[in-house]
Amino acid sequence: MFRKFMKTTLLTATLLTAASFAAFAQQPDFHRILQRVDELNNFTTDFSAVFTVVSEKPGQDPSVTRAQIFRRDPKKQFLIVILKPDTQKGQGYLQVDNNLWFYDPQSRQFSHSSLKENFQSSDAKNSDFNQQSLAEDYTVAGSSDGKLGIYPVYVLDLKAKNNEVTYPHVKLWVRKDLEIVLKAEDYSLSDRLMRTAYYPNYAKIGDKYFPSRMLFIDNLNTGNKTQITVTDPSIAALPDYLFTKAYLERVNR
Amino acid sequence: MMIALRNLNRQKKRSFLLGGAIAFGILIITLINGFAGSFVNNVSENFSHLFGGQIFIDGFEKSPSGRRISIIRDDSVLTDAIKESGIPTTYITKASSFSGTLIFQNNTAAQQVVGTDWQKASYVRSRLTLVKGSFANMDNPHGIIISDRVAKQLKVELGDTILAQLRTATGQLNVGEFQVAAVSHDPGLFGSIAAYANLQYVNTLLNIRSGDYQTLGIFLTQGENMDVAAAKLYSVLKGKVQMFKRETTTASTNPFTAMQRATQNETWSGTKYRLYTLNDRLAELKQIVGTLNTSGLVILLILLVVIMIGITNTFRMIMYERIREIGTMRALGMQRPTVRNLFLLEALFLSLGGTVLGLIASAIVMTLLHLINFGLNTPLFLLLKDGHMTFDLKAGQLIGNLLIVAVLTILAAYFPARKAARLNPADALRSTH
Amino acid sequence: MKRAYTVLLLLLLAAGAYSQDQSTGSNPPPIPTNPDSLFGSPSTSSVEGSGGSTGSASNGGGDQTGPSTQSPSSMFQGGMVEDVTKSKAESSATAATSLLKSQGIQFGGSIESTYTAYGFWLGAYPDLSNLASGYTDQMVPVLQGTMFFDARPDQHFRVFGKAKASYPFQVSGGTSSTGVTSALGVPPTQTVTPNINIFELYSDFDYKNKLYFRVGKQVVNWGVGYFFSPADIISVTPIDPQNPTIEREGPVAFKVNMPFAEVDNLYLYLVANQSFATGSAFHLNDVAVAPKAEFVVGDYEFGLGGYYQRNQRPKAMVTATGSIGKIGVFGEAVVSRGADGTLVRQGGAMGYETYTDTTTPYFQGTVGFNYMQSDWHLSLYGQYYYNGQGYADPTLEKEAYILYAGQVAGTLPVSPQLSLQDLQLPARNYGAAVASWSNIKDSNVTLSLFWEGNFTDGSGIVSPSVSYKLFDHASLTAATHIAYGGQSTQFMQTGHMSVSLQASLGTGDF
Repeated sequence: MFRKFMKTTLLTATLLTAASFAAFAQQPDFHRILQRVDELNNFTTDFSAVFTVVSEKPGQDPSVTRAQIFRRDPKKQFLIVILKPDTQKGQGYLQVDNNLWFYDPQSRQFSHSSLKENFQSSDAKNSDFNQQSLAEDYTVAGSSDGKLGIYPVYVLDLKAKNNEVTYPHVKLWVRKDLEIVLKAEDYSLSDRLMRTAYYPNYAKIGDKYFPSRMLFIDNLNTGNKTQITVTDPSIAALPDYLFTKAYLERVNR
Repeated sequence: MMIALRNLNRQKKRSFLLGGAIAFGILIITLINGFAGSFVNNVSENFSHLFGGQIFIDGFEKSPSGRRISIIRDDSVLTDAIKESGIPTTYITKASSFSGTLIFQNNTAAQQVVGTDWQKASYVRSRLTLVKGSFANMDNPHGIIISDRVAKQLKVELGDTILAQLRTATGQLNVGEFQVAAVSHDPGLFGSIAAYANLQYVNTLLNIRSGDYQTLGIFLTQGENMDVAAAKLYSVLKGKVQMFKRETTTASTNPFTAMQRATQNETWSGTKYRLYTLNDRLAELKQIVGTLNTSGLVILLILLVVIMIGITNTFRMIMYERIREIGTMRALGMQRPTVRNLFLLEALFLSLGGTVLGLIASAIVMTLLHLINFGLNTPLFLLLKDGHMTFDLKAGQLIGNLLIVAVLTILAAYFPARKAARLNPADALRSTH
Repeated sequence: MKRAYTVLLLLLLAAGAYSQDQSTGSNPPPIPTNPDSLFGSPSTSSVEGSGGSTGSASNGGGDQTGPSTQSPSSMFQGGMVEDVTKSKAESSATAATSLLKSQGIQFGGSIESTYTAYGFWLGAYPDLSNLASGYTDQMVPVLQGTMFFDARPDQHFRVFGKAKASYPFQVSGGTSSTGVTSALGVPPTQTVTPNINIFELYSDFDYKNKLYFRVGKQVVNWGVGYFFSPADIISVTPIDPQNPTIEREGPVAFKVNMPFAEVDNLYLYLVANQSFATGSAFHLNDVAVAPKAEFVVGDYEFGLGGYYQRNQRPKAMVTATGSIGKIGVFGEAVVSRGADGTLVRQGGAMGYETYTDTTTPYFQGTVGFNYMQSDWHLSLYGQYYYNGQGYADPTLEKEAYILYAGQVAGTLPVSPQLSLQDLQLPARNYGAAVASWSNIKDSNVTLSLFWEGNFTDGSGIVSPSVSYKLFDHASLTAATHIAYGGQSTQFMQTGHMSVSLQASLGTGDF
């Protein structure tokens, strides 16, 4: 009897130890996951897509704007051409490095300005417009397994590493198999939920996953929502002539 | 002189009308000068109560990433310097503030929120007229006093909980909750300057340690010159802590914005302080006062020119009317300069009389205007002192105005006077006019 | 990407709101009232990735019916990820070219419909005790429509045309409708509005996306100035400082553009303007030649250009745009051999005479700034202009007005003749500024203050205005124009003061 007891105990202990080792071995490297999430947002190739932004506010008609975006991140080139509303179709912005041109089809004139100064106001500059990196700015303070719909997810609790990161506390739902973000909650310093972002649809282009539908809910102003849908995404090479003033002038009426 | 006075007395109605015209011009210019003179004092005083002082010290640190952080941590060196400088202070205020968005059920309002120690903030109490609630409600650490315009925009009532979205001192997003403790009257043009809350809670929202704050304000004793006091304090502080260069007002630069720019562009370690006065912040006011005084002078000159034309014509008429009298005087041996000076003296006395009348009239009008209590509920409350108009006249201005009037009046009478003096006595006596 | 989204959101939301688009093309799925329902639940039926990358059809259906009865995670069904690697890989270049090509012809236009009541005092400032003295009033309706067509049968070929028609829609001869308004803001009563005016008609084509051509009547803007632009050599009409943003007519020209080094450009214009012709026929050597180069250095863009036409004054110009801090700055410098128009000098039988100068070099330059504060809806523009061809002596300027008046009346034998263009900016030094504060405290009120001054003769005009938007496409604007300066100075020529009330009803684009 005693032998049986010992055998059972030993077996249980062995199994438990093996299981804990296995669990330890399977504990994901969350820092790497965050890095991967960051990388998903960076394109080393050309990128183009149509963005449709629908903005809803209570008591107002939804506003819809649609634009074609062309990007060449390594060279800091960016072109946006407005497709809707019709009265602004063809208007566009060309950015190369820190230079921004806006073309006004009415006066047929380009307005040139320096992006660096335009978007840098006294307090709002760096954290909003510099490339924010989850992996560099946050530590994973807690994690758990969960489910969002039918998808198993890691629920990661991120805390900012320093007191200059815009959102001190972020919660992420990361799909386990593909390591893509499905949902994100941004909290204030007082731990109040400020914004919730949903990424219910992705497009796979090569080995990159790109959110093709994004929904942003303003949790402070109830009813304020913005949805961005991305259609026709492509990482195929873009012609060089795209990032020129001549092209911007041609697409305008 | 007696003859001149007697002559003025002979035509009382005419003299009264001419003198009255001069008096009217003096009345207008004196009122403008007086109001302009007190304009800066009143606005200054009212703003000093709303801003929390006349001299201010801000502290700044630079984070490793280059972000400018507004903070005063250890103020003992500042308070010691204040004592050492010997400037006469009434009290010292400590405040932190943020620019954020107040939110209530989908209604939003951008607002500056100033956190101050309400136990000691009697200076703000005296300048805020509450239309709802009471200062006692500010015992609630989350209490906030907002203006009625903001309350209307947010559609809040007393006791409602409003959210405030802001950025901390280091730029992180934060959200706080305030309860509406009171609603103050919005004085219009200069209104909605700030909402007021408790320093401790504002510090919490800004993620500033308790005991730290952002701005130190100094109330000087009544009548003290803030620029002189600021210069004294600055020289003491310069020897103890890092200070931003103190810009002086020039015609084209606003010293406050010049100092603001310096905090963004320079780099330093530790805390660097910026000292400025209410006058620096209100530099534009001086330009307004200057403009007021100049336009007043221009108005006076225009008025006077019009009046002087009238005087010249009138003296010409007087000359024709008294041509036989002039002839008689000349025939009796009165010399030309004497005849001329007679007329000029009449003009001088006219101007003096008119000026004196004008000053008396101004004094009466100013007293009557001062008695009116406009209250704090008017858009002009910042221009008033406790709801009353005040006038601050400088002796130099009065004397200057008097001299201008005298000179112009004499000039106006000069040509007719000279012409009268040159009359041939025989022709004058023969005249049938 | 986050930066791109933020920039995108800012730019798109700033570009303007528009109600839900019902036209063809894929409509975005409606925003769900219960976002958690986006993720669906294992119990609901799943629909695999349908056409378009916007996900399953259940999203649309479930989302449109208000608070969802589905469990919170019903959205994330199968089909969440759509592999577009193969199907969309070729689309990138197509996207680039699709914007240059369209199936049909696009039409559009605008209508301007404003009705302004003016009251003005010409000879003197209003006498407060007797406002009726010297007062006269006028009602000026402006009804103008533009129509354009844009045909893009091919990515390498495009035809564009724009026509304008203005009330009273009848031709009776006279100057262009873009003539300069008087100092008091009242359009000169002798301006005759033409019938349908072809404003632009040109075709665009290119050579292998390396050289781009535009041939026809086209708007051309060379300068970077806001109120004054001496470098705007090619445009037919100059900028009206009091209306700097209105469309200005351009010439018939042939333009070739060669982009190089990513953001730099070379241009060559050949301008064929009938007014250049010597004699009755237009010859090949009457064509004006104007080359231009644009290049970017750091955060500044520079332009260098030249202009030659055998009957006109040759010119060279330099432009620059950039920013200093949050303030945009711009500048122009132009050197010409000879003066463009007719000048006045002392001499001749009348004491003053007109003459032309074709050899003396003249310099014109301008610097300016602009500043926008979007939080406060504030915008500021300011500019200084040095006109080397203008009169430094205000007496000559006054004489020019006198001679012109005599010339028009036929009472003075002026030769060479003066034109209205010679009197638009006749002095040496000018300044202009405008400050605008719109949607004050989130209201429908906009305040604006405009000033233009002639530093040489000390005259100018100040024009404050307040505008109130009643509702979309309807607004009221009250303005007053106050001129200052000595008698017969530039801005006092046309009157001392005016007030106006304008109703804009139904103005808009389509």
